[in-house]
Amino acid sequence: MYPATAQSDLSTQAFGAKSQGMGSGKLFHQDAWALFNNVGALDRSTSSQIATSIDQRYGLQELSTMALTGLLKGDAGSIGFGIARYGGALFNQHLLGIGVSTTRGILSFGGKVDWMQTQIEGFGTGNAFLFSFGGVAELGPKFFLGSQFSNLNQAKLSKNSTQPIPTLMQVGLSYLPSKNLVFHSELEKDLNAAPIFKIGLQYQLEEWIFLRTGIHSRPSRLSFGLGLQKKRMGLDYAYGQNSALGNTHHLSLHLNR
Amino acid sequence: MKALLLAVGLWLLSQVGFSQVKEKPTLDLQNIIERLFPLQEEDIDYEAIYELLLELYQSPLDLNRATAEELLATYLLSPVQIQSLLAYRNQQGDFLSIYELQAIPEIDGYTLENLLPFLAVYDKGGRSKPFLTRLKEEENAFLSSRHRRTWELRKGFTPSDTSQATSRYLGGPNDLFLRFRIQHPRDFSLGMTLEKDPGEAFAWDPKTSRYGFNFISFHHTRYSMGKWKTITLGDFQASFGQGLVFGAGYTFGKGAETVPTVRRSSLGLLPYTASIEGGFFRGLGLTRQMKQWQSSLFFSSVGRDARLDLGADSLDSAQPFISSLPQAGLHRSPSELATKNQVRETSLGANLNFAPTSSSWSAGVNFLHTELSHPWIRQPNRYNQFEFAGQRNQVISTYGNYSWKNSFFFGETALASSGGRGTVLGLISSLSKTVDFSLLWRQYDRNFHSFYATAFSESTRPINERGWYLGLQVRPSPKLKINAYYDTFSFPWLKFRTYAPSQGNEWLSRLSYQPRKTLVTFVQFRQETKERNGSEPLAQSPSYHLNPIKKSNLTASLELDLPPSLQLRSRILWNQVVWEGKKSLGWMLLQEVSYRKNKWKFTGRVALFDAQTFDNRLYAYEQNAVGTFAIPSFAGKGSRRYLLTTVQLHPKLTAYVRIAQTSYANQDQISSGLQAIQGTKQTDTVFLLRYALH
Repeated sequence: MYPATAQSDLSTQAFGAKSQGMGSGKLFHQDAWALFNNVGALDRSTSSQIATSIDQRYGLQELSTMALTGLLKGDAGSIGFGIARYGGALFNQHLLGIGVSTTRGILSFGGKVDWMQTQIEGFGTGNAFLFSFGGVAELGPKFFLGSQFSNLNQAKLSKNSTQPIPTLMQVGLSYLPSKNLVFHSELEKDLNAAPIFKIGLQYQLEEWIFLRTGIHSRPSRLSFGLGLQKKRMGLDYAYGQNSALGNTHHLSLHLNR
Repeated sequence: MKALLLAVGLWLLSQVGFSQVKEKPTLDLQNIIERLFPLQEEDIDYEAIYELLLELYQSPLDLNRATAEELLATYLLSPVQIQSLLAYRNQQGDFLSIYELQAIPEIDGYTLENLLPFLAVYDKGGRSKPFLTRLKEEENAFLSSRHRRTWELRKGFTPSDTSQATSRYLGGPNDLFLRFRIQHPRDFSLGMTLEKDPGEAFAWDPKTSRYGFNFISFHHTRYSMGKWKTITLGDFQASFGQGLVFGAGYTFGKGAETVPTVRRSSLGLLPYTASIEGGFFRGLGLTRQMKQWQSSLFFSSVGRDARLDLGADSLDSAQPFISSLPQAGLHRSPSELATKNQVRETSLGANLNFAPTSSSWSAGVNFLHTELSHPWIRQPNRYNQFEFAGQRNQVISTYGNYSWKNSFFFGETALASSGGRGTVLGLISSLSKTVDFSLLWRQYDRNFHSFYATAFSESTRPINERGWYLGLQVRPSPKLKINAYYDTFSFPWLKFRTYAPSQGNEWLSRLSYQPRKTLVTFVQFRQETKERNGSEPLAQSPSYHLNPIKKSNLTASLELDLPPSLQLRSRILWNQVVWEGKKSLGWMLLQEVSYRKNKWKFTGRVALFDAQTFDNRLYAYEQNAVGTFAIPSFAGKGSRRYLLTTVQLHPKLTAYVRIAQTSYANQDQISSGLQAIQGTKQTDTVFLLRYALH
């Protein structure tokens, strides 16, 4: 196991099938998953929301993620709470996060605390607290700028470990050429790895159908997604294809207030 | 409303200053080629694509009859533009002039300007005169003769070294080409091409089918003769579906135009006019139109170059077999001449197409049977186990097209007699007025054998490949255009220089900025990662180990028109190759100037290049005499210059003179083998005379 690679650490994963269908871009999704993806975008959600997801990778149970998150939107800002589990019996990680976000003028920003537990059979269990900050700024009616800094405190897997949890920074631009079309692009830099470029596209075919596609540069991965929204209920599915390893499937459900 | 539009159109006509009856709007061929052509990575002869583009240009579409399918084939209109054009035509009736297209808000000025050479409004009247009279009166009738030569002495032309029995070329260094062509769009085309490559001898020898020139091609094609849509005799090509069976020798694939080129249009039976000695049919082809049904049938029998072997241990069976099929069409040395016309290839092809009138879909079936006069038995090597072997091959396919809202869906799936399958599925779509998107998925088995297939693929042929392609074009403002694509592919079986299953990906982005009509700039970046056999000796590892090779290319270009007579073009090409931890670079800087005055036109270019390795070689399109086409590559260190002069000697006679020279700084021999030149310079000339018969 190499917990430092971006694909296999819970703190670096993208959450929600919407993000997974758009190249795993994290910065601009305005939903309850923003707690994990970019806490600064949490307050850009239009309503309170509860959501759950499952990610199935390359047919291996040991590489799957399950998560549950809730967002409470108030006048002054939003509060999010979420829990996630990744891995199998021999190696697994749990993440428990709480975050707040607010909007002032064109800027939405927020902060989050995660408690992450890593358990490796035969090695024991490690705990760490991670602090993250992020924000989204509206540059104009068609452009948004986003940025996030996660694990700012450069925590390690446990007190007794020298293995650092990745410290990531993302910067990105979102472009909305028309009301049914959204582009997201972002650059993600891990302190100890080469940068990753992600680009995602969402097309609203009908009032309630969303089609998505995206590219993730390292490892090279192509993804497609479908979203359905009926009244308060929503379902998102994403398919990721990585020619070396196989396919990934992602499903999430949400309920708006 | 109509009258007003017509008045606007006529006013514009007078402004532009040409009469639509006689002269066609001038086609910026260089622009179109650079936009549509696949980005060059290998030394492939693109003459066939060039001829096809000329063919499209020389038979403009009838704006009042053109279907969505035909409009897509111009590669200039997005789905939303096509749909609004058709909607406008349905609502307002026939177009009176092509300038009426300006009334469609989705079609901007630049698009219209690019479209002009490809569209026309034809008179409704039929063909009143008999064929021979039409032939006699046709203005589009030309006779071209061309001489090309490399002036430095190649080894193949030196006297033979008597101490060793080394072979030399049989003929002289002159390259001769003669062509006659007369054609009228949607009516007829008649043509003949004769060619002799440098080193080939002028000889009358029916045994090797040499009748003076080494290559002779002829066609006579008639269109719209009652229910016969096409009747073609002589050399022709076929284009139906997505090119899995009938590819007509071209594919645009991945280029600077990232959205429309992934889809192919069925162009039907087409006359073959290029001088590449392969990839065409020779015989009779017929297309019959029966209401919504269209059926095509053809028969072809053509001699192909082949190296025949008897086999070393074949004492009992002395049946010769094909060991290789050379594609180059060169017959310079005795050894090359021995391959000429050694095999007869007989083909029977059929297509059935169903297109319900005023509906949004069409579908068809393709079939091709090919038989060789001798069996083809390849010398076995590590990667060719699943390639074609034997004497006959059949391939059958079905294809379909469907349009829905602002999207066009297309696909074809084929089955070869080996059991190998090939499938292409894709869509091109306008997501909004400013954003176009394309998606293509393909899968070709390692034993998918289709001799005339040119479907979308990363490899040069659609075999042993799987992949996804995503293309995008965004036009945030009329002056600005962003193109991008991403392609990811895998090769499930071994390939040349890649002795293990491999994979890779490629992406491109291009930003084009045209602040005004006379200034065009772009910056383009492309990166490709593939795998190749590692360079460590095989003895050190029991199996082949692949290593990634990453190639990056950057192009920056500026084109400036200084009316009335001057045109400038500057370009910077840069590339980097990373292979086994080593970086190598390639650079090319070029400056081109065109000057036009009265009956003269001069185009001159100077360029410097410096490519550290062969993988860093640089490709640069160069202007040439009409009908002459090449995108040369440059490796090593040196300079390149050329001057092309065009002069109209007489209203009917145009002359093209071109002198080009490459000089190398770090090598004293150019090329190798019989092509070798001792020295640092290579000088090539082209002299072409084109005579208009009427």
